Amino acid sequence: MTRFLLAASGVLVLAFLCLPALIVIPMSFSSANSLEFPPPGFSLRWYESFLGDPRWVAALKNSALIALVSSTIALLLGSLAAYGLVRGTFRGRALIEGVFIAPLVVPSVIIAVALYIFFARIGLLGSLPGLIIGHTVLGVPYVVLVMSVAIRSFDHRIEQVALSLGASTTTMFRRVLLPNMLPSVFAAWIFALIASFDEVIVTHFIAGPYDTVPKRMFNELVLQVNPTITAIATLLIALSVVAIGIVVLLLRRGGVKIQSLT
Amino acid sequence: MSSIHLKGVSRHYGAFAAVDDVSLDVEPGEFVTILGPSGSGKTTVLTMIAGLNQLTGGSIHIGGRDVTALPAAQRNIGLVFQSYALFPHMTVFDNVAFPLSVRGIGATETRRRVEEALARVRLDTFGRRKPSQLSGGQQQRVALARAIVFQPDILLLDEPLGALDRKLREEVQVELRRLQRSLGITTILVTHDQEEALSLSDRIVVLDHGKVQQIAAPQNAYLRPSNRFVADFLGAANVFEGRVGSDERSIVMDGGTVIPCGAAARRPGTPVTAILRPERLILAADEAIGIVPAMITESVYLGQFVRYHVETPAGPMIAVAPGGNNGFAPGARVSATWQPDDVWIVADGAAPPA
Repeated sequence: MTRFLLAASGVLVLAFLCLPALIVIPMSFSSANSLEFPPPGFSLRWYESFLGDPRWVAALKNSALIALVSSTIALLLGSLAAYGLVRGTFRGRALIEGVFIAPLVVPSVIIAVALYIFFARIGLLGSLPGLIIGHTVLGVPYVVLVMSVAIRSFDHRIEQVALSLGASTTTMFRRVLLPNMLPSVFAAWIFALIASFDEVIVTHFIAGPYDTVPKRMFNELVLQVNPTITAIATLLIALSVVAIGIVVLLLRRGGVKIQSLT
Repeated sequence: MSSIHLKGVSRHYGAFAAVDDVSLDVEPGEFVTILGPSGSGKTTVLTMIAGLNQLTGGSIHIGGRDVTALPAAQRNIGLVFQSYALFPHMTVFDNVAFPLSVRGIGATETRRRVEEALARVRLDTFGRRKPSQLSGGQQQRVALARAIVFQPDILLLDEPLGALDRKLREEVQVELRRLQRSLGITTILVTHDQEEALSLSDRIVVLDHGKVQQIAAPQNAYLRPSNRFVADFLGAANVFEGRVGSDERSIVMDGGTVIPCGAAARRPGTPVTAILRPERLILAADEAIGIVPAMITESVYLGQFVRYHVETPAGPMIAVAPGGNNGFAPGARVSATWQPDDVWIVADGAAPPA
């Protein structure tokens, strides 16, 4: 009986969390002119209206470009930082790790305001490089977290043996460490990619004339409830589910347990 | 074949001395074991020789060359860790070929040398497997092949047998010794297992709290330990405390019992601690003929051996005898005897056990 109650309440909570997101999916295939549930008929008109609108396509291109570039930079910087934090023996490591993780904990609005003021001063406000740097800052904590766990779970002795067998540090990184880190590297990159693609608050503050998909969705919703949003939302959900699926698969292959990340 | 010279090697972490002023000369082709409990600094010494840990004092020479400031990659040392540390993403062949490939050796030569090294550890047919498909003992042999394939000047082994079960350990021990002899390579092994140290090495270095306690051949370290710590760490011992007798060839205990010993090299009356190894204590059925009378309090059958716990005027003692049929039963009155030279003075005064 207790077990049944536990399972039932679990299912209820899960439904409570997921239903609002999932209800969007049937609505996006609706033939109605406004948001209506249940949908009166099947149609792909809202997907057409999304992909047929040059403003949406431009936003999509911006989002993709910013996400790709910023997540790649975040991957490079975050991985190097993670290696130093895990293998280094210098003082103040905990503090520095805290600084790297901070963007994950500090409210986005605060980071947004900080970046706004800073970028205004150095003239990066409303520019593509500014957006990329801002999104990089947000992506680094994910990379540091995933890569720290991966590096920590890799036997340090293996790196030491590689060096002692005559490999330079660069060769050791390239031929020993990196091949074993690949699944985690890819997972970290996807995390940073999603973080950037979903980001709306910081983007709003620093984007200026540039539109990204989440920013445009937000603006559209303020003006009117256009069912196009449901098509976009469905696409984003599909993207996230696929990405998270890949991440879980990769981390398992890399021997990293999801629980050890949290 | 290269000699190894450590001169005053130290590793301090703040005020803590992990390794303190260790000096050691290893002859070309010699097999030396660094023996000590965990935390004694033995692995730190090894990683400093390998170039993976910085010295805070002293110098290291390998084959006459000062390597103190040389990075690990340029020291030409074969290194084997307890955890095997094989490259998990490479096949056995690629693991063993790695040191050759970073040295830019051609494919034909690499193939020949890898095959030779794998044959030496009897794994010739395993080249295409991944490390995860091998048993612990096989992985260890791959690590060994990888450590010798590039003809290193010296071989360093960090508890190489620690992760293997007992039977396998004895097998790999024999193989290791055979390999080391046939290559004639100067080898330093680190272990906390005194049996391993005694059976494998030409000489043993006993380390405790980062300091060298004794450097000696196995038999000397065992029978002639330089202090109480070495005596206890290398095996069980009967301990006598007393004063050197007037003939300087005996120890007079507090109760008046006289323990004959070898030349004391100390003045009569000096307080000393001496040890006698259990297998050097001989029990005789006749109460009268021995040095001290003894009563069996317990007999423990160990197959090859029987361990007797006896009560004597010199206190409780342990004797180990071959496990024959005619053992003594608890309560039997016997006598204990020994060669005076087997009683060895380990310290002046009463040395507390380490």
